[in-house]
Amino acid sequence: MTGKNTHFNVVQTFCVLLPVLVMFIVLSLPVTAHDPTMPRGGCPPVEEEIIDLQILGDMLADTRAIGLFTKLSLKKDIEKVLRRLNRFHDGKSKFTLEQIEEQYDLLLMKIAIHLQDNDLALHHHLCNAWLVIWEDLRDYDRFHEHHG
Amino acid sequence: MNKMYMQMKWIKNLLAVSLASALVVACDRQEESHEDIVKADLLVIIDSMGSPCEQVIDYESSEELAYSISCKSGHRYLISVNPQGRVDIQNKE
Repeated sequence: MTGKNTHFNVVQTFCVLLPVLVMFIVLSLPVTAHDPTMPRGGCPPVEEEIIDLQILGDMLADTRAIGLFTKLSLKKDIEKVLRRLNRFHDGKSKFTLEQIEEQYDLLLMKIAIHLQDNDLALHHHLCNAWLVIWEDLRDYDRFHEHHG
Repeated sequence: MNKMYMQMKWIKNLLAVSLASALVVACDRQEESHEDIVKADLLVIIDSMGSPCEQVIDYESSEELAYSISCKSGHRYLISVNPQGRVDIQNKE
């Protein structure tokens, strides 16, 4: 009888502790790189984050790391992505959101190449802003607030 | 005679401008496909990194922000973005 009680207590304790343990493990997991509030994995910290593609465009206009013709080309590319997103949010796009996200990623890759060896400060800004700007662009209300 | 010549010239100029505008509008509406956009952007990235390619004939996105690319020149590359936001290019055998 005592042995049965002891066995019952062990099972009961296990049933209480297991969910607590699972909850503890889940809460202690690191936040993934997809969390929009966090910068990409290993981005160096910056004092002030860029949260808007237009602000990034303005900062690109001032950098000496990129030549005039490349700046003009990148400006045109930024406008193209914004136009495609505008059409998407208006329900008139032939591209899916995933496709526009890939086009956005490629645009930022094209910008990153020019900055990564020549303007580290702006490259760090770009790295931190990568996901933040996308979250701003994909959201209908935030997109129209900033780019409407 | 001179007046008529001027009118003809004006109409000819107007037609030329209208035709050019129509062509610009038509080209703008006929937007590239997503695949063409990705290929063109990958070519710009490869060129910017000083690697030969000519034309991207095929690509495969192996994981997030990583592309395996085949070029018309015969070169094959792996382009990826590391966690620090740095774009890297590797030659593939």
